[in-house]
Amino acid sequence: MSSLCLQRLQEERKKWRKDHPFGFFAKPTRNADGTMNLQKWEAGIPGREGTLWDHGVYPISIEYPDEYPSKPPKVRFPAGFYHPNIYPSGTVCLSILNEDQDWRPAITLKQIVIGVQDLLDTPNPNSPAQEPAWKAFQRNRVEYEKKVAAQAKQYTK
Amino acid sequence: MPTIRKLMSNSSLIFMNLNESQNGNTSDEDLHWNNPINTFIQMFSHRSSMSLEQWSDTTHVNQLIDGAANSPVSYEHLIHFVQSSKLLNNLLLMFTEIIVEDLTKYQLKKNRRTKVYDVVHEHLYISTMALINANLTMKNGADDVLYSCITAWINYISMARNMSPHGRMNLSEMFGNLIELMCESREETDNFVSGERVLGILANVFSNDPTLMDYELREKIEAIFVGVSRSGKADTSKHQWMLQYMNHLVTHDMNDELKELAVCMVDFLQINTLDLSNKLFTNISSTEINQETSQQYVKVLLQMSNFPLTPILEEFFSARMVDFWLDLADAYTNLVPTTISEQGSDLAIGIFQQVLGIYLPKISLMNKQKLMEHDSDEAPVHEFDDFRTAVTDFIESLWSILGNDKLTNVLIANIGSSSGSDVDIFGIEAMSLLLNTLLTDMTLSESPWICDILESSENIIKNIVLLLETGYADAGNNSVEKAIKLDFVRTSSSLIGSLAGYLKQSPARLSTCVDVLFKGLENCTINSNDGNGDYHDKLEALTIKAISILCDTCRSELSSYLLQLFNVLNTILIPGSNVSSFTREKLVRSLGFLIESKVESRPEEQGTYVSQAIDIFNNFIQQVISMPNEQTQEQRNYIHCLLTCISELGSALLPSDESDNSLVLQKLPELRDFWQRDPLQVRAKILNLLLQVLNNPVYSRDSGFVEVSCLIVGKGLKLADDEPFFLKYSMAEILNFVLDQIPKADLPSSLPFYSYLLENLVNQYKDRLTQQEFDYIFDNVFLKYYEGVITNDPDLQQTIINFVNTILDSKPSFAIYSSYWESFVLIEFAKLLSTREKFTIVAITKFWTKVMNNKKYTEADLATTRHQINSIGQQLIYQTMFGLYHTQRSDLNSYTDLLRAFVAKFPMQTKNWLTIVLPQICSNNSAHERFINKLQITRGNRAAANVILEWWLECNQLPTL
Repeated sequence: MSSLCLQRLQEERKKWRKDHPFGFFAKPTRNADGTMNLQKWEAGIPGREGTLWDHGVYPISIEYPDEYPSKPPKVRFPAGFYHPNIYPSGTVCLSILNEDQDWRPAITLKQIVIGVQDLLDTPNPNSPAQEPAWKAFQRNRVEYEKKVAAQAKQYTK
Repeated sequence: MPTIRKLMSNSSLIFMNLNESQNGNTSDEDLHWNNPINTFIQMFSHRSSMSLEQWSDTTHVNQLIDGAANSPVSYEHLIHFVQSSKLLNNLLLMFTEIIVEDLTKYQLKKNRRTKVYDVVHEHLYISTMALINANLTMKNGADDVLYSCITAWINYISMARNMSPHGRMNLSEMFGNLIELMCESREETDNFVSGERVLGILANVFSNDPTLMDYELREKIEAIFVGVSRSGKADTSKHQWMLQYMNHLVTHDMNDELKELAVCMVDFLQINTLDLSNKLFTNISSTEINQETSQQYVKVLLQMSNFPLTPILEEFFSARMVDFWLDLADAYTNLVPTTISEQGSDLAIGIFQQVLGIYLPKISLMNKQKLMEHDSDEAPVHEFDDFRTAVTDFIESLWSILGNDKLTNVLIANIGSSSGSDVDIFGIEAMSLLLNTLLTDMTLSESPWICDILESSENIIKNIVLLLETGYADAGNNSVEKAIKLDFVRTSSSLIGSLAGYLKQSPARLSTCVDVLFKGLENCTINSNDGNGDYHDKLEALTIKAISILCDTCRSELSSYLLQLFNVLNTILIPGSNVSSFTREKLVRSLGFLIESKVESRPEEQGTYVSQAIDIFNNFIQQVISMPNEQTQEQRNYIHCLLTCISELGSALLPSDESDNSLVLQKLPELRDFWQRDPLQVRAKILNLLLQVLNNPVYSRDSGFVEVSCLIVGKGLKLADDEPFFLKYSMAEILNFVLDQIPKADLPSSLPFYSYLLENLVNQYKDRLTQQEFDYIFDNVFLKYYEGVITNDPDLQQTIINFVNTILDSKPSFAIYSSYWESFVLIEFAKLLSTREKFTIVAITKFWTKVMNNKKYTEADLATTRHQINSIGQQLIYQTMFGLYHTQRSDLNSYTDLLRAFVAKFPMQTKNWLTIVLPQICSNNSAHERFINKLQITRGNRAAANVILEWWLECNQLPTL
């Protein structure tokens, strides 16, 4: 890991601990010997109140490449996560996480998780990443909502 | 005032622009301006000697400006000027603030200013520091404008020192004066207003750029904040001021200010964490700071974390100090082991054990209860929950220092140390929360030492179960009590789940847990109509999750619970029971785990249980579908849930690759034989049930029912032939099912599910399926509906393409020797290359890429397809490039592999085809030529994608890269 990457991740950790939105959590993972792996974080995104996603805290992993912050981190839900903009592998399709689109090195962890929370209830139909959820969202809203509600139960906080 | 500010801002822009020419040098020596502050002083010094008419005379004013622009001002002159008028003093402060604010602001936009730092350093900085320090020492009450000016300068220097060597400017005198001013602030004099403002400035420094303040000054602050001087050089008597200030804040309930102070102090403490860690725990020698002083310092910090008040409600130090302790723990963990002093390790253990002792009562839900009872505002409650999360993060770091021996085992011992009326349920909860954090990442089944400790603790499971029972107890309509009890259930059920690996080895304790969980589930069911739907839903979800984990981990150990589980199932599956589909489905999966373990005796036993479960589902479904009236949505959901339960049962019983149970392995042949014979007719029962349900047009046209039916029928399709499984339908059974159902289905919503089932079927039975059978399927499932339905719907187009793609992956000969290949597939799929819908584009480009480049081809397959592509190549290229030209930018990449395959497999032909077709698509011959030439020589996916993007941009007249 480059020193710039390390420095920035330490800064991100400090910032997050000092100020993060309620209900979210994010922390670097630990290696088997108990040491911290700053390049891989685990985090939880609470569903926004009053939406289908409410009552669930959805786990994500955030992997920072060696080139961070020049390159964005990769954010992943568990594989098979049901959402129109989440790839079958769980990778999040969001413009601020795309190097060729809206990623900027100044984007913080807080902005990323809030962006992902926003995405949950406001999928972008123009950027489909998985078929089942995208098609249900477009064509069968009842089925879509039923599956999202079941998923929320699965991740009840 | 806004006009004056605007004029000042204009002047600051002139100042910046004059001092920053393109080459760093001004071309005209006369055009320079060093110090707007001096100019301001010079001009306003003439204010009384000039008449109003002279001020209005431009020529006169210009002469004045020329004379004043770079005229020096002595220190005495400056002091005299600011003392002459408070208004002029404030205007001067405002002017210098605006200049550095603009410099900071424009720096962010334009990262090329360098000379201006030099000019500011040499001139403006000197005047401003004299101005600020004079104001700070004048003792006539500082104004807001002074603090704003100081903040702006701190922000500017913090930015500038990273931009230029001239950006480094010393602020020590100013900080020293600020500290003096802070310590002179009193309740009696200014009601601590200036103290508070200075602390605000210091908080900004410690939070953003703490090294702006030098070491000596930080020592001073340390003595004031903590009352200990680690070097012995700073005056600790000033700590009294801090105590008085804190007392003032506490007495006047100034919670926001207390919180800000806590943030400021902890930010300050975190500057020295590494140094403190070195001093405390290592051999790195220091002449200035001895270890005893450092220990004394730590004692104070421990006290700071341990105010006997309710965190968040009455004090914020403990919540903020978690960060400091976490940093210290990390700093210790990161020390090179050889540098740790002889007593360093014991000292660390001692300190962190004390910290743990402080935080356990702090995170107690009793404090959350107080918070909730005090205020209906949710924010402090969230803040408290965050505090608990921060402590659980901290405990993970502590584990590296204290280890199981002094942390995990201690928590286990303490949870189990009380019994009967002595049990402090809140204390148990706090310890359980932390223990759960530690156990989540452990595999208990592989940690015999921890299991021994758990086993030797007489009351641990009793107390965790008591916590669970307390959580389940009726909370009435008291919202605070409900929230706390939900937390009790959350913590205890989650811990029981984490303990599953241990409970597997302790059957009696496992039973205790399972009994209470079932009782809790029953309670949720009974009470869920009392208007607390959300609350019961959460209790239910937490409970069923714990049950499911236990049933999965302790399958054979819980097999004696099968009958009880069947009873519970019978209760919760009753149509009117208030249990969510999620819980029903999870419980059936749990039941499946237990049935799966029933192979160790006789296969018949497993068969009987599976049959019994299917009978239950069947009976309930029959009850509903036999009702004479039209089915309500609720009934539809109910039947759908029961069918999903069958699917869940199947998933739970799917043979696992990881099974290393030798007894199970021995029984495999018997079990295989049993399920092949299926003497209890389980498969037939299920299939009949599905057919019966789907016989109702309401269900056969509902894609949800089609989906779950296909899931059930295809459950065993990915298993190897010799794997025993109760849901393994034959090829004929599945084919008949699909062919029977398709005509009744609503194809736009259901065809994808049938198609996916058929893909799995062909994969599984490819060696038994004949070409005629394949053609029959293709004809009856797809061709029959192509013109009327599929061709109008991009989703269905994609479905048919995906089906053929799967065949090309699995057994290409089925597709390419099909009687429909040349007559239908090649013709229609060529047209689909110009489709606009993302998933269809992905599927169709994949299809044509696979047709050209397929590792599963035989020599004959290859020759056949090459010949076919050769004959329709030009048309294919036209359709491809037409589709590409009209597609949106985000879909361009889908075409890359296809074009690369064309170039790789048909290089010369592709060049010719492109040369012919591109002008027909759009007229930009130079772009076409570049595209063709580059594509021929480009290697690699990314490079090819760029060539395609360039062509697309140029032809669509968009800005190129």
